[in-house]
Amino acid sequence: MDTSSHHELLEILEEGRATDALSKLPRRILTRPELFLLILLRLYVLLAIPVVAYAFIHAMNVK
Amino acid sequence: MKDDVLRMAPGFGATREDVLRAQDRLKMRIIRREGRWMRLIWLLAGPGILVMLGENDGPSMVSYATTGATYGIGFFVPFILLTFAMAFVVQEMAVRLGVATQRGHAELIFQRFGPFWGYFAMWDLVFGNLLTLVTEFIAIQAGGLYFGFPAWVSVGFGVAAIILSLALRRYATWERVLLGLAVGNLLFIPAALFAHPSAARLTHALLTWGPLPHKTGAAFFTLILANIGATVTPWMIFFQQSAVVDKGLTRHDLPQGRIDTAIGAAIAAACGIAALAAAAPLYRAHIDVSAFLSGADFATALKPLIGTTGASLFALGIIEAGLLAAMTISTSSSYALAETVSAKHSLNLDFSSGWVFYSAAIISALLAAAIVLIPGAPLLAMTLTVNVVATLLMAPALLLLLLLANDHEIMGDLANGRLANAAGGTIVVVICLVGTLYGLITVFPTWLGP
Repeated sequence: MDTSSHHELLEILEEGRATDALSKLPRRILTRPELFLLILLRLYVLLAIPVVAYAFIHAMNVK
Repeated sequence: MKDDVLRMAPGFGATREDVLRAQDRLKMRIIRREGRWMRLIWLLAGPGILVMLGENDGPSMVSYATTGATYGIGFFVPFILLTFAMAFVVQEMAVRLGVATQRGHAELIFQRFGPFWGYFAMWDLVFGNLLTLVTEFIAIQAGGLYFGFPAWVSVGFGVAAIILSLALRRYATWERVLLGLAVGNLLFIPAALFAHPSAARLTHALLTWGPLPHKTGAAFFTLILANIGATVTPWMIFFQQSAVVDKGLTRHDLPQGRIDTAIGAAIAAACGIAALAAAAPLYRAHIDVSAFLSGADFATALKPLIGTTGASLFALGIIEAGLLAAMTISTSSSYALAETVSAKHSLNLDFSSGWVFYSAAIISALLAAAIVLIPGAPLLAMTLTVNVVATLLMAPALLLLLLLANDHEIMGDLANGRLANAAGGTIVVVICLVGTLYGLITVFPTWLGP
């Protein structure tokens, strides 16, 4: 490994550590439409869970 | 060079993982400077090809074969191409998120949308992946049975392959080993050639989307949904974004990341169409495949029609499809779990510092393998349910992806433009409708007719 590559590697290592320093991103401030979408998504999930449970129980009876 | 730098790392305050990733980045930087573009594409290729061929898993190939055996060569040939175009649009967003934020998908959801969506995304992925892993081991087992291997040998081989691949403790090596394995997906192409598909029919199908299926109804829509579920699934988003970060891709590497994803989509579509074409002789012979459970059933039925070699290639392809998917899917569980609980997450980690990461993949693989080997386990119920889970849970995964890709704070100039939003938005709407339709067909099976 030559000296310039060695320096460059150290530089990349520094950049990597700078990225790590940003490790925790702040919580996103949601707009009204985004909030509405996420509420709809929660409803979708609530409806999807019983469908999955039903599908499994139904599939258990498939011969 | 490697040992030299690794010795230097602790003194510099860097970990082994940091140094390995920095070495990968340095290599790319030098090759980019030298203008060796083909070499650069080769080195940067990986996550996109693996994710697309990983999704050409055991159940997906069975879905394509069922489609070919039920409807022959026609409407579904261009339809498969369309689903992979959809997959490309979705996965390209994951690549952009990875290079822009240098964070995995689960990590981003947790940090930007809070613990509810963070834990939901992680548990839905880990649960869905566990069920999918079961189906991959069923594929490996069924393929093994075709060649006369007992179930425990094939399943044990699958588990050993997953653990050994993780023992490499180096992302770049892991990726190259899996890319080598992924070549096996191409086995469906010679298998299809043994079926002597008509080039004229294939071209006609690609150009005209015809002939259209002669019978529609619940079975037809289930196949449509199964084909969509075979190309666009939540684990792909989590895996590719994390793999892009683990590989060390930066904003400069985005064009190559896109090329990698496009190549993966093209190869996977070709293999999917090949599986369909390989099974098309069953359609011509009027063989009912509705009772077929695995790829091995197809291989056995195809033997008198396409010959022993063609059928063996098909069965081998099914084993490879299951094995590659088991390796990539278990790794996506690892990334998601470790990112959510803020544990270290990289295939460059050694076992002591990455035990949470490695344990997730190993435990899920062992659990799935054990379920497959339990006598009388409800494997059919799991196989049928996994499609429902994947399709229903794709809508939340896509919507969160779209919200993140529009997050200018973290994406900067790589945030979605109008075109990406139009394409991504359309796909979200289509997948939501498909999920709802799938739910309705599941609860009311006779709603669309027999």
